[in-house]
Amino acid sequence: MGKRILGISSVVLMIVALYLIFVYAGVDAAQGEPFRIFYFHVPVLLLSYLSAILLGSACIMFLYNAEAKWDRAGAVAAELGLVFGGTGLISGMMWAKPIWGKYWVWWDVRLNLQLILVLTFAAYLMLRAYLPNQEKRATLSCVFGLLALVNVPFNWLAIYFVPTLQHPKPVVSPGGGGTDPDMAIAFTCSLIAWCLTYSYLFSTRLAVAQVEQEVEYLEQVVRAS
Amino acid sequence: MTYVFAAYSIIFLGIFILAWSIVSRQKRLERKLEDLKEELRDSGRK
Repeated sequence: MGKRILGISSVVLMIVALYLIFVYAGVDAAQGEPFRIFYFHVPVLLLSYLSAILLGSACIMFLYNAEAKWDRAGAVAAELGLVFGGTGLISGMMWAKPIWGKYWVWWDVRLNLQLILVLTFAAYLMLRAYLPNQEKRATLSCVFGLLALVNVPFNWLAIYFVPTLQHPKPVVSPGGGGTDPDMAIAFTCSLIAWCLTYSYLFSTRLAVAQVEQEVEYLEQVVRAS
Repeated sequence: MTYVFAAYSIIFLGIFILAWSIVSRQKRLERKLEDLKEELRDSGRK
């Protein structure tokens, strides 16, 4: 019941966010229409950081007490991280082309760190897919989970400490320039909508992962008897 | 506007693929459970 409410409210809020982004919020004076990409690009990438934090924390918990629920949570976080990080990265490229004139700038530290984060999620999932032994799989894949966690602070702080003319600083940061109230409302609504969507997808996928493991165990019991 | 449309489409496509994969996993599990039930019923008859 709670999950259904979460799903419905995320869809409703997403529709409201789209209205606010394309109708309510005005066009950015400096960047024009491509600025609208940020309303989705930023929340999606923030949720990819959250995925990395959840994955890393789940790996630490698994290495600490070897409970299967942490392994499942880590795997789900990695799946969501791959999708959110990957789509965030590509949507950023769609913004970069009209603003920078190219899809990718190889010397931008944040872009490269984000690419590494997405590849870390992919490596984590690929390793899991190729290892049949459940315990070995969970322990070995933790290496990539911890790497994802380590990536986040560097990724987050890269634009503050590495001089770059390319990547814009967050508008709410010191020296970021501030934002128009209409744009702030649209962005906040989008952020909440994406957080709800993420929570819904995470909880649903986690429930499926738990049943998957139980069915796998039942299969072994039935075949053995 | 083309790039805005492309960016939003890619994000929604990614989420759609993720949601679809969750639903297909759920359906596969339901099928597996049905098979297990059948196997248990058959072994009970024997």
